[in-house]
Amino acid sequence: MDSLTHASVTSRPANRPRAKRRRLTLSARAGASLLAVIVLAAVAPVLFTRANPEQVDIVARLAPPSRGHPLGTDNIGRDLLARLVYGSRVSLLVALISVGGAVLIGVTLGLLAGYYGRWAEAGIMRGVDVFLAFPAILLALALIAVLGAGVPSVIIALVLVFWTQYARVVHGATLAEREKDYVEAARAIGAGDGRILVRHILPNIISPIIILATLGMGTAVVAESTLSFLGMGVQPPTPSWGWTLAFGTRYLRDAPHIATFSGLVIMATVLGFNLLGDGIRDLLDPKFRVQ
Amino acid sequence: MLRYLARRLLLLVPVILGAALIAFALLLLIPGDPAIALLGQEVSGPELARFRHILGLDRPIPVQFGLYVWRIVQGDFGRSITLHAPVLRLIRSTLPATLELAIASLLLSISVGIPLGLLAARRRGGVLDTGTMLLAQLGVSMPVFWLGVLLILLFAVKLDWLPSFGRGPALLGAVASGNLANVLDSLQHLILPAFTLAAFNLALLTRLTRWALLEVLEEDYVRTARAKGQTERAVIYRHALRNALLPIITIIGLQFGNALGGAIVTETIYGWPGMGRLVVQAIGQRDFPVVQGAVLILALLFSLVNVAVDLAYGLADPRIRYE
Repeated sequence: MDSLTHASVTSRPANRPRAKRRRLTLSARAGASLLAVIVLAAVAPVLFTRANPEQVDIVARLAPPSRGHPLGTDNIGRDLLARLVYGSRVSLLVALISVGGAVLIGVTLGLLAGYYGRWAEAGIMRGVDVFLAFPAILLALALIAVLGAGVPSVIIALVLVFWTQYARVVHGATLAEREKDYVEAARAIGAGDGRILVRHILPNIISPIIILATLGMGTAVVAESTLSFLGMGVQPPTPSWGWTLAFGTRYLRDAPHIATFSGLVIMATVLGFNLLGDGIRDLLDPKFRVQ
Repeated sequence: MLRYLARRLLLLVPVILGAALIAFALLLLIPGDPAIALLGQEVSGPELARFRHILGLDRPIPVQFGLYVWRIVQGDFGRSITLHAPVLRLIRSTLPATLELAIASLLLSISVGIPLGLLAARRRGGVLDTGTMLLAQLGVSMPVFWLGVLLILLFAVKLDWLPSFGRGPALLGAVASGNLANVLDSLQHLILPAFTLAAFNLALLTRLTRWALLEVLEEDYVRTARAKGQTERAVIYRHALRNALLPIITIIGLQFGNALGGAIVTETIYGWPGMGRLVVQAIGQRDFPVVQGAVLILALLFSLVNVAVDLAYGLADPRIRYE
C-alpha cells in the first residue's frame, strides 16, 4: 500500500510533458571548463609543471618554447609555464577576495538603503554617486599610490572600486521587494528587520548578485593584471600574470612568447568568467536569453 | 529642458564635493607628513612650517578641507613636485591629447560597433552573427594592455607600418591648417592607440546593439510595420533602430567615461602625452598634487558626460520629457 501511495505521488500523469530542465548553455559550460582548468592549476600546480617558478637559469634566459620549458623562459631564465601556473594563485585569490569584499559591502549597504529609505538611502546612494564619478582604474591607482603597491593595497583598492555596482543593483531590487506581500507577512509574524533583510529579501534578489559577481571576477582579474602592468599591483618576486606580461613587453622583439602566453592566460580566464556569467544570466533571467 | 539641465548641474555639486573629499582624503591617508608629500623631500625646517601654515595643514581637518575646496574654486590645484609647474597648467597642456584619443576611440567604436551589431542581428544565427559574437566575446575578455602590446608587435615591430610611440601633430590643428602631411602623420600616430582604446567598447557596443535590436524586433509595432508591407530596411532603420538606441546611448555615455579611464593604460603603452600618462608618472614619482588634481578634473569630466547622456535621451526618445 505504501509503495502504491508513493508511486501515485511521484509519478507524472502520462499526458503532462516532463518539466523542461534549465541547463547552462554550451558556451557557459565551455567557460566553466576553462575556469576549472585554471582553478585546478591554482590548487594543484604540480599537475601542470614540476618546475620551480623561482628557479633562475640565466644561461637559458629568454629561451623560446622547448621540451624542457614548454612555454619558454622569462628574462632571468625562469620557467614561464611555472610562473603562469603559480601566478594563477595570486590572480584568482586577489579577484576572489576583492569581489567577495565588494559584494559584502555593496550588498549590505544596498539592502540598508533600499529597505530603510530616507536618510540611509540618501547618504549611501550619494556615496555611490561620488565613487562612480571616478574612472575605476584612476581611483584604484590613486588609492594604491597612497597605500603603496602590493597585494593588500590592490585588494583594498578593488573593493573600493567595485562595491558601488552591487550597492546600486541591490538598492533597486530591495526597493521593489520591500513592498511585496511576503515582506508584510514576515513582519506580521514578528520578524525583525535583520531577519526580513537576510532571510526573506536577500534570497529573492540573489540572482543579479550572482551574475554580477561572476562577471566581476573577470573584471577583477583584468584589473589586477592592469595594475601590475602599470607597476602598482603585485610586486616581484611573487609570480603574477600582470607582471610577467609587463616584463614580456620589454622583450617583444627577442622573446615575444612571454607577452603572448601571459596575455593568453589572462584572456582565457576572463573569457571563462564572462561566458559563465553570461550563461548564468541567461539561466536566471530569461529576458536576457540570447535569441 | 533648461530647468532640468540646471537641476542636474546643481545635483552635481554634492558629487563634486564628495570627489573633492576623496581627493583631499588621499593626502591624509599617505603615511607621514602631508606637507612633505605636497612639497617633496628637499624642503624642510622653517620653509616647511611656513608652507604648512599657508595651506592650513596645522589646522583642524574640516578647516583644511574647506581651504582645499576654496583653493580649487579659485583654480589653484597646487604645484607639481617633480615638474615644478602649476598642476592646472600641466592638466591643460595634456588634456587635449587625452580628449583627442578618447573621442577618436569613441567614434571608432560607434562607427564600427553599431553597424556590426546591426548586421549580426539581421543575420541572426548565421555564420556572420556567430563570428561577430565570437569576436565580440574575445574583445570584451582581452586586457587592453595586451591588445596594445600585440598591435605594436604586429604593426610596428613586424610590419613596420605604423609608429608605436608618441603623438603626431594635434589632429584638429593639422586639419585646420590643411597640411596633408601633418594630418597623415597625426592619423598614423593615432590609429593604434585609438583602436586599442576602442576595442573593448567596440565589442560591448556590438553585443549591445544586437541584443537591443533583437529585443525591439519582437515588439508589436514592428510586426505592424511589416504587416503594412514596409521593406525590411525601413522596418529596421525607421522603427527598430531608433527604439533600440536608448540603451545604446546609455552605454556610449558610459564608454566615454571608460575611455577617459582606459586612456591611462593606453597612453602608458604608446607614450601618448596625455593626462593618463601624466597621472601614471605622477603616481610613480609620488607627485601627489598632480594625482589629486587629475583625479578631481577627470571626475568632473566624467560627471559632465553623464549629464550630457541624460540630455541625449530626449533626442533619441521624444517620449522622455524633462521636468
